[in-house]
Amino acid sequence: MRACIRSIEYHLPELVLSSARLAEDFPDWPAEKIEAKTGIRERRIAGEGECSSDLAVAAARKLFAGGACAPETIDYVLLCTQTPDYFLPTTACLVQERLGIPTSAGALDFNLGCSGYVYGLSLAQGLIETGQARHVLLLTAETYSKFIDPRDKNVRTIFGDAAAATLVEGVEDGPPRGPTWIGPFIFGTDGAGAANLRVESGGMRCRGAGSPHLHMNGPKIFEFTLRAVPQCVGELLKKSQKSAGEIDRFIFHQANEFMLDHLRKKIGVPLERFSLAMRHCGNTVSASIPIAMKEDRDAGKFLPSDLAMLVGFGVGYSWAATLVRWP
Amino acid sequence: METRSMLAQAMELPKRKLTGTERLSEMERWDSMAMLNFMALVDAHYGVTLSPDHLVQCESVAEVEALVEETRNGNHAGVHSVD
Repeated sequence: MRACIRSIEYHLPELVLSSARLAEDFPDWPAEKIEAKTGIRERRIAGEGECSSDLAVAAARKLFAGGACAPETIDYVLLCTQTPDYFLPTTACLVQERLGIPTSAGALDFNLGCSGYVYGLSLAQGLIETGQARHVLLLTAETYSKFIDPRDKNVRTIFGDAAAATLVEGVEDGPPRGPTWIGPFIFGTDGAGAANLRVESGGMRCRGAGSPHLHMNGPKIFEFTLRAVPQCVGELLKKSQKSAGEIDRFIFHQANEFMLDHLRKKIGVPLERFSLAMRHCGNTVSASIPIAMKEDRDAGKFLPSDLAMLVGFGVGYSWAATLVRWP
Repeated sequence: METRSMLAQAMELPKRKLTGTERLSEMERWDSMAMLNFMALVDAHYGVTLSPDHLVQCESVAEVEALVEETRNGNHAGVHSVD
């Protein structure tokens, strides 16, 4: 059995936060400057009572409506979020019930940010290729806006809320074994960077104390990215015995255009093979890579025969990279 | 491009506006976005990554110039690019 990405859909909440609207709050940052630096024109913001499970359910319903499969066939739900509806129960359990996924399915949440989608693909592949599941629904859903201090222009101009749903399916093969659709993987973790992207309040360590807002030390995150991402790309090429020229599409976590443009030039990827898909939705954390994959597929930039490199990096620090084909 | 030109560009100032005697902490434009811009310019130009911890401690243009030189010479805790 080989794991294979079968379908991707995503959902954005209705409320739009435009760069023009942000420029009203931050007069020294005109909309043109915000857009030029971030590459973002609009972010979508979840409503007051709209939570990660709501966005995830909407994305999954779109996937089912598109004919990818019926909810009854899902036998495992993996849900990546750092903004769960509750401390407990698990958001994946809420989603299972609302989507009509069988009670025989496994379901779990995992807490990662911008690297979460690549880790999710790794977990899904593990479940499928060891025979534990056949149809894995991988959901990445975030509402970071609920953490954001409206006066903090560094994060408010970047992050948007979203959810993506990916169906990872087991495909019969071999012997001899057929092509690999997902992998190999490179992983990385460095908890020394924990304080540079953090929400203190709400967890057990700072109960009733600490800041309830998302804190981001931009220069430190940039330093980490410059160190980790090129190295990660190099390691993945070495492990897969590929050259950069054999990669049809580079789909990185859509952090912001300033950072991605610098990374792209540093690594030496031509613009026409590099994904930029955040103008309409901002940095959507763990949903950003599947949103970019879907946008690229719809625009004819990521063909069924193409080999894509996915690289997720951020909060933790945590990073991961893999190669995928989406037939 | 020399360091002072990169600093001016990072802060979106004309180069001649920087004399080298300014106190960076007193310059409104020397914010986290300017630091990011500056780090990116130095990385692109010299292939080294400045330590943000050291950069934020620099009080003057001359100190930033010294930090860049020390990092380029491998005498600082900056990180060399992996290409």
